[in-house]
Formats: sequence, structure tokens, C-alpha cells
Amino acid sequence: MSELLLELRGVTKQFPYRSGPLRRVVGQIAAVRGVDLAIQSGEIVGLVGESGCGKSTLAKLITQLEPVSAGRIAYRGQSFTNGHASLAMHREIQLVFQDPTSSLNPLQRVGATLREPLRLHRLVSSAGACDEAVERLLAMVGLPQSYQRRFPRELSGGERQRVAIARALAVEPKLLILDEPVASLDVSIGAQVLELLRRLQQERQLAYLLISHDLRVIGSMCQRIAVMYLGRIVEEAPAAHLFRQPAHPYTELLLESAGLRHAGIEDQGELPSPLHPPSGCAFRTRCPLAQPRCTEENPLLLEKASGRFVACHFRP
Amino acid sequence: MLDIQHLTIEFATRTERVCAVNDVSLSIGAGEMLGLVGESGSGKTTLGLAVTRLLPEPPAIIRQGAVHFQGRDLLQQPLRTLHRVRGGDIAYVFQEPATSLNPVLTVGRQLVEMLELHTAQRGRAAQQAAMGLLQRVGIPAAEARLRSYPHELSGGTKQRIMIAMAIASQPRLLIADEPTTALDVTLERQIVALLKQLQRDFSLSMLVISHNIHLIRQLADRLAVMWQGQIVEVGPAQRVLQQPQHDYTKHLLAAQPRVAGLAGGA
Repeated sequence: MSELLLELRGVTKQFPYRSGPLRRVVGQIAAVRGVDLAIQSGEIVGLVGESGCGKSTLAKLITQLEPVSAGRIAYRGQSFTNGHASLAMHREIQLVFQDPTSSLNPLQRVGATLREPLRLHRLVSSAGACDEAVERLLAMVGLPQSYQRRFPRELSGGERQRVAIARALAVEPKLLILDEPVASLDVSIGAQVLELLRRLQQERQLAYLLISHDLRVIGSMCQRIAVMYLGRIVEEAPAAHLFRQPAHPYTELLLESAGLRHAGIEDQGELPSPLHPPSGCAFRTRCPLAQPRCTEENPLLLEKASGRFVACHFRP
Repeated sequence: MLDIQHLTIEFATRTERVCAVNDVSLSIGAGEMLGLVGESGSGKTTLGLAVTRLLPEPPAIIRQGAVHFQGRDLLQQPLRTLHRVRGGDIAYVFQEPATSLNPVLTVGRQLVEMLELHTAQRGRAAQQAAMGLLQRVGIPAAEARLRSYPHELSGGTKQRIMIAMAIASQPRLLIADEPTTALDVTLERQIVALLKQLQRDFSLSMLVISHNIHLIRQLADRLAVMWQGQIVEVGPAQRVLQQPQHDYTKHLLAAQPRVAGLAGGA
């Protein structure tokens, strides 16, 4: 039975932009602008977009590393906007970062890294139980027990990412936020890590929010995909639909650029500055369909067919 | 155009010697785009740098081999000749445009410097030529961009400027080492189109080095696969990608994430 795990409603995040010798706040950078997203238990949802579109900020908002500016985040129906999350929520939502080299403590051996969350969340009653749990975790991510005594620098990139995954799984979460989990790895090592993530998801009925700029990684893992552009979700659809029949022109451009479609779309544009986002539809500066209406009116993310959400005045 | 023969390069540390490039022979014809693909540590960047002896020696040691370019063995040439060849007949485009451009000089200054070093153009003529180059690589408002500093530009524009600097000297061979790795996928597509256009217009020879098979697939006529310092497979790009012979090539292609139910998902 699947239940609604995580729900985002109109989630917005603005960062103050400072400039000049006095570092005065001269503007607001809207990194995330009114995002709605829902994740069911046991589901793999992909979030794809180019650098600067706000995907990593969204990951930080969901895991409470940053407070939201507006909107609501609810976990299992309980809203935890801004610092009121219980320890249980912190335990059940875990984050795996892109670069395991900087997210693991370089002075801590692998064993100690894995013990820490177990103790913090009081999941083990004795030292013996803790040792057993660490052994189980290492076995789960396919690392030998001897690695307990190693430091992160003595591991390869792929092994480090396995440790980071084991650390996230130590507290038995329900939802993993995976922020570019294979972007720093070679493709053959990345393939092994993706395989591990697939296996763990099935064995433990985990839900993933997989964040990546790489449509192939997203497409090989996810059941449902949300496409983000300049802080907004512009399309959300079941994976198969999104790849076969993209609805939003930006999704089409992404697929074309990744060589997954060949429709001959022209594109000379670049991502506009989030400090001065275009009025109306953010994509209109690069969009072949753009009309005067797009300058004035921001298209809402509407359900155009069952499970298909598109933010475009002209599609489908 | 370029003929690398039995090139072996080692790196010496205090305790051991590591062979980064092991007996590599490779050639690039006139107007040909050769793709060199491999994972980190395979030696592909070392190979690209060694062509004009850009590797710091030591720690690098060129054990054996020859690099023939326009009838000369570059490895035997004095430094003065190499200075003329580097950025002249053989130009480079590197992965990270942010670190390859000088942050305290305007784009115009850096382009003019290239032109004055490698061509006969000086002063106003060089300024004009610099503007022409920016237009050539598809940068709008070229005149204003000449007065910009690198930090004022986006990643895609910076990489276009790197390409403009590389073609300033009208090179015969362009070595592009991960030219799009720092860029988003939509910009990667734009840079690919630009490189193809330049290659056609100037009948440039090109060595494109990347870990990214999709980039190589779009650009290369011929493809070489590098693994642990050796070329394990070389052949027409289509053939290597569709019918790989070597186990490592097969492994590399199989490791590409596949989008379920989509043709060409590899």
C-alpha cells in the first residue's frame, strides 16, 4: 500500500543578494518559486533541470537544512515548515550528497561514521548491537568489513559514495533525497552505484527523490519525473510519457540536447539570471512558441491529462 | 596531419613509477575528427598534453615514441619551435573555461594578445580581428563583450571565447579536452554545433578528448578507446559504438544508463 509521504505546496525560497562595500541587500534571488510536488512511499521520483534551476536548494528545503521563505512542506500529513520537524522526521528523510569526498568527515574512520547516526537517534541499545548494525550496513552496500578501519581518503570515489549511502540508511529512513548521486563518478562506477540504489529501493521499499541534470540517469531509475526551470516545475509526468511525448517545450529541448529526441529544435539561448527572471513564463526567452501572452502571464502547472502536469499556455 | 608513434609516458614519484601512456600509436588525418574516450585516469589528458610537450617534465618522463606533425617530430624540437606550434598550428580548448581565462584581463586584451603572438595583425587590425572572432563563435554584441571580464560572462560564453582564442591563430589541429564537461546539456549541444561548423569551415583536424560517449558520438568520425594507458580499440565511430570488439569498450557502453523503452537510449 502506498501512502503519501512528502507533500510540497507552493514552496518558495529566496536568498538575499548582497552587493557593494557594505554588503547591503540589493535584491532577492528566487531560487525556488512556488513548487508543488508529492512523493508516495516506495516511489522513485526524478527531478531534472540544469545548473542554477533550484534543484539542490529544493533538496535542502526538504531536509530542513534551509528554512523555506513561503509555502508548506508536509511529511505524512504533518507540516514541518521551518524548524518544527520532530527527530523522527529528521530520521525518516535522509540526504545523500553529490560529492562524497566533501560530505564524509576526513578524520573519521568509516566505522565511526556509520556508528554516529545510530547513537544519535538511539537506534542501538548496546555496543554489541551497534557493531552488528554497522556490519549489516557495510554488507548491504557491498563493502568488506575491513573497511570499518579505513579513512575516506583510503577509498575510491565509488566506495565513498557507498559509505555515504550506508550512513543515510543507518537510521532506517523512508525517503532518500539523492542529490546528483553519480555525477562525480565515472560512468562504470556510477552504473554500479545506481544498481545498488535500485536493489536497496526494492529490498527496503524506500522512496527516492532523485535529483540530477542527467536525463539518462533519471530515465533509467524513475517512475515519475518533474522538470524544473528557473525555480519552477514546468512539467511533471510518468517517466515513459515524458520521454515519448514531452509536452513542455523546455522538456523537448532537454531531450533533444541529450540526444534522446531528434526533432531539430533550434536553441541559442542560455538560462536567464535568477536575480532578474523574465516576467511571465521564465522559459519564454528561449521558447519557439513564445507569444505576447507569455510575457504577461505565468502559466500555471495544470493537470492536462491523468498524472500529467504542464505549465504552458499552448501545450498540449 | 598528426602521427603519434609508440608513445610511452611515465610519471615518477618518490617511490614508484606509474606508466600513464603505454606504447600508444594514433594518427589524425587532415580534416578528421578523432574522438578519444576513456574514464578518469586512463591517460587521455596526458596524451593530449604530451603532443606539444605541455606536460611538466619532471615528474613526467617521455620514455619513448615520436609525435610527427607537418613532417617534424615535435618531441625532438627545441622549446622555441614548440612555443610557435602551441596555440599556433596546434591549439587547445580545455575543460574549465573559468580557470583557463585570465580573470584580471578583459576578453579583448586576451584575444588581441593571441593574435599578436601568432599572426601578423597588430593594434586596430587585431581589435577588428578579435571582434570578428567573437562573431564567428556566435557571441552577440561582440564589441561590448571585448570589454568584459571573464567573471561577467556565463559558462557557455566563456567556452565560446576559449574556442575563439583557439581558432585565432588559424590552427591546423584543435585539441579539445572535455570541451563541454563544465556545461549544461543544452549548452553542450550549442558548443557541439559550433565545433562542427568550424571544422567544416576551416577543414580543421580535431582531437576531442572526453569521458562522455554522447559528445564523442556527435562529433567524431573515428573513435579511439583508452584504458589504463593503452588504446584498446580504434575504428570508425559508428562501428566502434555499434559493434565494439574489445571487452572494455563493451563494458563502457553497457555502463551507460539506459532509458527504458527508448531507442537510442544507450
